[in-house]
Amino acid sequence: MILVYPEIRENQIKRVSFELCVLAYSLAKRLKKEVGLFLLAPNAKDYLSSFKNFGIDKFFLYEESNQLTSSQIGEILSSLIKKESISLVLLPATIKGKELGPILATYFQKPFFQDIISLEVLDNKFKILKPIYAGKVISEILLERDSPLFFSIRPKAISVAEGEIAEPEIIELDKIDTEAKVKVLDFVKKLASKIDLQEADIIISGGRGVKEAENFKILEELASLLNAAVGASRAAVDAGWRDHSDQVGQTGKIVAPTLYIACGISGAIQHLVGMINSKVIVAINKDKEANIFKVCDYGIVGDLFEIVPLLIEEIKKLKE
Amino acid sequence: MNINTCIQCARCTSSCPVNRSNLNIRRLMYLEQISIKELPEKDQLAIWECTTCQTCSLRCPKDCQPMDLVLNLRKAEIEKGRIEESIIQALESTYLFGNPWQRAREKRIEWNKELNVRVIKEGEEVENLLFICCTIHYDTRFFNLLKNFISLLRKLDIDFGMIGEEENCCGSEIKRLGEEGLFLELKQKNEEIINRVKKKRIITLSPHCYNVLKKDYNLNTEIYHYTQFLYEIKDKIDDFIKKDSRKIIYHDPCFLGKQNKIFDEPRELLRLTTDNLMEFDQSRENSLCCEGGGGRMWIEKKGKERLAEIRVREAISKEAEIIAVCCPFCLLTIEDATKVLGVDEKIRVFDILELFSF
Repeated sequence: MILVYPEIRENQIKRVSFELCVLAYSLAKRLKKEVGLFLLAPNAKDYLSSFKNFGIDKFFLYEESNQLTSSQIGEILSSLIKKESISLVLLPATIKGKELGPILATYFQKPFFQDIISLEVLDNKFKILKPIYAGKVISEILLERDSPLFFSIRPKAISVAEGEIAEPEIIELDKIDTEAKVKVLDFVKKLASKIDLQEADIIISGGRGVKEAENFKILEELASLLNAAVGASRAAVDAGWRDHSDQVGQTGKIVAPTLYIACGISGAIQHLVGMINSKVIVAINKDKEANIFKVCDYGIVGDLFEIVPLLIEEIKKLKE
Repeated sequence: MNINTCIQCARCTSSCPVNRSNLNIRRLMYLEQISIKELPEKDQLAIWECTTCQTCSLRCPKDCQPMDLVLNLRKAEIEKGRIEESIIQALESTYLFGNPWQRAREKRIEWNKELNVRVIKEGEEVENLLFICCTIHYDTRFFNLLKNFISLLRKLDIDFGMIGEEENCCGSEIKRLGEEGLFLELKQKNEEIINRVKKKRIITLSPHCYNVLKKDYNLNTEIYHYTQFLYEIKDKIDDFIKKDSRKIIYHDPCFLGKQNKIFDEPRELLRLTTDNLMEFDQSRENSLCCEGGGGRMWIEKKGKERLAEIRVREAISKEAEIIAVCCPFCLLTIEDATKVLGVDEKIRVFDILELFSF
């Protein structure tokens, strides 16, 4: 059986959970195995319906109202893996999944592959794709079949497509007495509601060309549409338009998002150090001689006050 | 340096350009005199404010070299590992890639695809060996400076070349950040590479490289800042440099002016292109630091008006149209200040070399 460990945070199923189901379903068809899903929550039953379209054969429910630590969850999972002779365990490459993987792998003395982006069956082997060197290189790994094997899969690496509606079996697992070496007392959320610059997948940055603090509003609007964070150059921070915590650059934050949109930023070396490792850099600047055009992947020569609103309009249309 | 002869006259602190911060050199001298074991936190943080412009040491009537005390205090902090993240990154990058800007060594002379400067190999001979600063190598903002300099040298039929990819950061700022070990390593590597080339002189583009190559390296060669070199042959270049009618004000870089007494050469070069050369109220020995030295390019100090902004305001009030510099750090800090003040369309910042047009 292939076991999926979904990510549920603050009563919400994270998207990566469904991505894992899709991957598990395709592997199961190929290997002629069943798919199991482990649900750990105070009200685990409530989540069943969300997973009904993913061809899952067995749900393992573990209702627990206390916050369990990863080592406790590891214990529960280990006993399930043994009992059901599970051969593949798919974890999300989130903080939780990255923590659980090594615990399980150590317990079973079997390999664990962290943060992979693809897992396929290739004859008698598994073919794994895994980014290394901060994503600069993708390594291809061939792995002999073994059981159990552990993988954590990078969020957004797999697109969600629904499988079939299965007739799942629902199994309520017996409570296991696990020992908590660490007790989780409480989760305190960071006050800031905005997206963290260094974690953001997309960053919209503004510089001197934004002209005044008020004008950052249009960048914020674009950012909220793209679920992006808003950054700033030193010139914009020095001018008092943005807080220093928003500053991207040598003396600010070093970021490497998938997409970096630099609006009205000339691209001083100070700034480039902070963002040059972004996967795709888009620059919007009036001055076609601006430095930023020498490092960007896509450059738009023009007034950001014309171009950003156009972008906003187009993205809104696409979202409809 | 000599702590014990300090008479606490406070000329150091009163002449310090960043004395509005928590940095109080007189106080540091005093604390050192009474052999305090651990600096109060306020003073400890303040040592990173210093731009190492050296005004304090130059003004000290007892020759106590107060700036060296700041450097020693930084060394001790570095030893303890108590340094800001941005400095760690700059130091690590210099150690790994030979430049503080976190850029690959392979890209050091990417600009040369277009300019084709001869790369001098071991045992080869060249009259003038160029030592080009990391910032100029990597920041494409300086491409025009390089282009102008190189076409000028070619027009004058001057034999020149450079080390290329193997060149390392000169270590000037590394030393002044207090990372003496890394500095010595860079110095040794550069000496080896430079000494295996036969040359008549070394020409540096940055006053920071100039200062450290001249004072701390063993190179047995004459070291020139490019302004000195061009000044010596100024009659030759005068013939084909076009005049610029704009009003130009010259900012003395600390590492060239105060620290090496090179005041007139850059001014004379500017006079080749302009008849409207202006002066700041604080100039030559009294020039106001731009705050780019002493590793301050890699440490954020917030909350007060930047010195470069004071400089730009004065230039604007004097109705200058161009601020001329001959140091990459001065150029970056002052150009940034024109943007912060929103006057970047009114006043431009250029290196002297960029102002030469032929």
